[in-house]
Amino acid sequence: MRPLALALLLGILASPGWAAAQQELRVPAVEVEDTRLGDQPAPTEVTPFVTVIDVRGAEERVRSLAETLAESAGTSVRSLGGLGAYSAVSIRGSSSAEVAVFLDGVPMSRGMLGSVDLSVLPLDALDRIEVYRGQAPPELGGQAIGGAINLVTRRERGAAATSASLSLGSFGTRKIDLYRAARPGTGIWEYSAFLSYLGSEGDFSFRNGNGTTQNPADDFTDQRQNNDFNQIDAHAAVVRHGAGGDQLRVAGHSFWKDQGVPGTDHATVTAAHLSTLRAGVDLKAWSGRLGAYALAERRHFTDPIASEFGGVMDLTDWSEAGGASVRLARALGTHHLVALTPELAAEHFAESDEVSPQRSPHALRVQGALTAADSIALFGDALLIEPAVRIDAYRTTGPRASLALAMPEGADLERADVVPSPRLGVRWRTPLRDLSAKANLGRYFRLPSFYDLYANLGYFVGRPDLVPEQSLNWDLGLLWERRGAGRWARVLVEADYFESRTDDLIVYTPGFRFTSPINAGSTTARGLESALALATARAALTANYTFLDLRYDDTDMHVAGRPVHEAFARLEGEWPLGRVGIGGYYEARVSAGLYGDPANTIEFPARVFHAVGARTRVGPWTLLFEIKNLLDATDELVFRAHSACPDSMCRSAIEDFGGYPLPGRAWFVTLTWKE
Amino acid sequence: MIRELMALLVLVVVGCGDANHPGTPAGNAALVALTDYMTPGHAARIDLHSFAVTDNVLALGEDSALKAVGDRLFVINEFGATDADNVAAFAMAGLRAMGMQTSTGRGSDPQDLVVGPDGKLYLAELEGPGIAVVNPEVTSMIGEISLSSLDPDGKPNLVAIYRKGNLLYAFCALWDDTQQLKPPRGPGKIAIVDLATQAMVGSIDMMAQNPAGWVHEEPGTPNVLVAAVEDYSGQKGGIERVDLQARVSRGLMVTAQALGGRYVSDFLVTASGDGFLSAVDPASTEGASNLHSFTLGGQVSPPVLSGHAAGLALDPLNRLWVVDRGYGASAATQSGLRVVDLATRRELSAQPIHTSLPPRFWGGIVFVP
Repeated sequence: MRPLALALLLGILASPGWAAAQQELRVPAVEVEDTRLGDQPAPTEVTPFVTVIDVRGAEERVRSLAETLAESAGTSVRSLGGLGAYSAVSIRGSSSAEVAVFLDGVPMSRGMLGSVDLSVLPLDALDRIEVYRGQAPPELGGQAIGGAINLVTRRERGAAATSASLSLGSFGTRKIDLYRAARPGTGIWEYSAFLSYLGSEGDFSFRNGNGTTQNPADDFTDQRQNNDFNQIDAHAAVVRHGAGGDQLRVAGHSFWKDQGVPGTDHATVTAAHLSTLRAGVDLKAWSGRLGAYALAERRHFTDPIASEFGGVMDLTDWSEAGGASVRLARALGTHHLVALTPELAAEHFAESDEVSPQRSPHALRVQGALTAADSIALFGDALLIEPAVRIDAYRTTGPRASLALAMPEGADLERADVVPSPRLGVRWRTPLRDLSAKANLGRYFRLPSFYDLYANLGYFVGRPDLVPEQSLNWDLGLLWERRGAGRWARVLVEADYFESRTDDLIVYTPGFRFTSPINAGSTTARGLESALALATARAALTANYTFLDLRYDDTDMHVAGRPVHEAFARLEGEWPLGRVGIGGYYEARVSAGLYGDPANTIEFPARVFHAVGARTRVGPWTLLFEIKNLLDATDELVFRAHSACPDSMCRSAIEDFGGYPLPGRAWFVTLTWKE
Repeated sequence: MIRELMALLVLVVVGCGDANHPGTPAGNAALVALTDYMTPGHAARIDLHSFAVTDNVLALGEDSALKAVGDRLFVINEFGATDADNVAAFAMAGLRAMGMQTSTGRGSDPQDLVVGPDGKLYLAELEGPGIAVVNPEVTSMIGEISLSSLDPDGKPNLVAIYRKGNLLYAFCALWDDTQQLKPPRGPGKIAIVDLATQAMVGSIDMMAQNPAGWVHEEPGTPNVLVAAVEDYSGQKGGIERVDLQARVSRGLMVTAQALGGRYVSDFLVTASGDGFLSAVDPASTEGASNLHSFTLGGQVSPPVLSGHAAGLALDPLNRLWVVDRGYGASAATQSGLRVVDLATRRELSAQPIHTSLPPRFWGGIVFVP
């Protein structure tokens, strides 16, 4: 199936006569601009299946990026527990390292691990989140086996705007947001600035199983320790408006976070700490067609009392990354819009170990990429065909030494990877009003991380000969959207089928002395996504359901940690009462078919989480009171064969990752002032 | 966490009696602990004649050792994100739980156990101060025998425990627990504990560093044998012989040199004095290892099997069960159990007996009715 489909795609792309033979070609009504800085993508217009989450007003709530992404069809989020804890996103069953995450088009996946911790990315600083499921625009790279997520920060809108908010809540949670944007004087210059502080003690109660899952008698109610954090997020942007609507935008951001690292529930760690400092600047010019960025990130992990992480640890790592791209687009004839996008990027990583200074790995990766894309519009824009080929070339250098293998140190190893990621998207505006059909096919990859290649931590040893994971993704679906129809401000119905096969998975295999990664096996994901959105002037309902059948090809077992069924629904509204606006919301999130091990001997019961909120608006003031996990779902019954639990059903804490409990019911209140 | 876990994958042999007596175990099936060491494992039952596999007959943790003592099966949950630091007892027949899991204390990381003449369980703590004492009748930890004076960091790192009469012998690796790689501070030490006073009454200095895995009696002698991996380089260590009666080490019986520069990952000795061991190539990222036979005189045969041999067990039909963790395209399908007829040295299954997860490296096979 896979070679045949790829041959078909390459055949289409390579056929010079194919496009010329089409009839009624004309240039589509799209502007030539960088996707990273482009307007909000309209799901009915673009070829990939994309969810656009409008997060304006996020400062009015206490909410994380992970919680917000969990609302989207096709996405799944796992957390180590509570606000501020490590959180990983999956799209269509992918691993978190297979999802490309960008902040205004700047890649946030660092070469060291490849995966992104959502807890160190902002939500309140954003305007919207674009979730490209299974297929990504070529400008967002080829390392997007699951898809891509672009976080778009607050855009300047011409008018002055000021806001401030203060939040308090359970587990010592506190938050302050400040925002100001203006276009003073002649209007040539415009600026915006955002500053946020968020912190929490994270000391929620949980059911501590005492490390004995089959003995409920020794369970006790415990309080999470060393789970506190403080973080500051700052963004600033300056825009120069030129003639003809041309823009130059320079934005900078910095992020600082200091957090405890709590360990598992039954092996409380009290002194381990992680601090993260990140600063970046990015530039968009020529209406976004030219982009450049630079970014530095420092992480410092300490475990001074040799707790469960193994010995006294004092690790500091630095990542420095930078890159630039330019998009050159030109209409060919009246039917084609051809774009060529060269890119250059580099990332350097170095780690220093204060306890064992001789083991300080480093790595450098230089990347060049070229994307050739065409947009072909047929039948008066009714049919849009977008073939594209992106070729990424990487040169990676890193250490050869491995103390765990007792091998001598030598010169750095070099490796080269040239990875094409061709893709084809089709959008057909059907004769039925507002109904579009879409289909996509693409090949994606994940490069081994520096850790995969060069880890030298004694018990973890990298493999420099790993090959990239590769996947072939395709999907097909319908989307019906109508805006401003009678009493309905918006109606959207979407349903699609997707399939993805990923080969050469990079998995960690324990050995006698150490664990190392290998390319092993493959998985196939098949699934359905559906979404519904109904909105009137005063109320809105959004709901989605995802079915995912993700299995290992060799054993036919479900991949652990990826629910078969996930659903989300949210109902919200606001009504005037004199000069006061009264509103609220209700949310429900459901998951089922979640397995805890690759042999599928542990299946967790369905999980349902409810949340409610009540809101009052008076002039510029808004007060929101919300309760998360309303029914205080904190533990569940799990079958454990031949255990001493009643009927072999053992009660344990609800967890995304084994040993890391999730918090129970929590309340938050937020007061916001907006001008 | 995983690096910690990997540190604890020490050598083991199975099918031991009360005081680690070598001998022929009884049973109709092998009970095999399966795990990927990252998610909770489970045990499969494999028929000794048909090799038919019945999966998930017993829920386990991420790193659970199985030890048979009389008619009881003990599951020692060593280290893991969910099940850890506890012991549970089951009836060998029917695998009926004989009480709740009993915690040995957070972070204690129990590795081995013996049953005392008083019926209490004595567990070797890898990450605790010494020996956990558990009353299986009321499934509670009732005490701890501290050996912390043996190690400056207070954790003497017990990897195995052996009982002879009223004396316990605790095998201490003496790691420097303040360092990430936890190197041994020097040669291992065997603490001797009198059960009557519950106190240390003496010790034996080992010659080699880093004892690893459970101990085995040398038939017809007062000696026990224990593997020592030193620094895992394959240049030092081997199998050390310790005379418990004279309280002195008799030196290495099998050396790393005799194994061609490999370290021992598991071994066993039959009642007739035939030895078998798996030896790991330290330069292999894949963990390539061979199965050798050896004599009590220290002579090592050429490889009987090659591949990824790990834990060993002797079944009631005088056949050797060898864990093969596999490596390559898919560990899930290439791993399994290999069965060797000791009389012919011939492998009885054309392919490893496949299980839903790879078998535990060592200490994961017992034979049940």
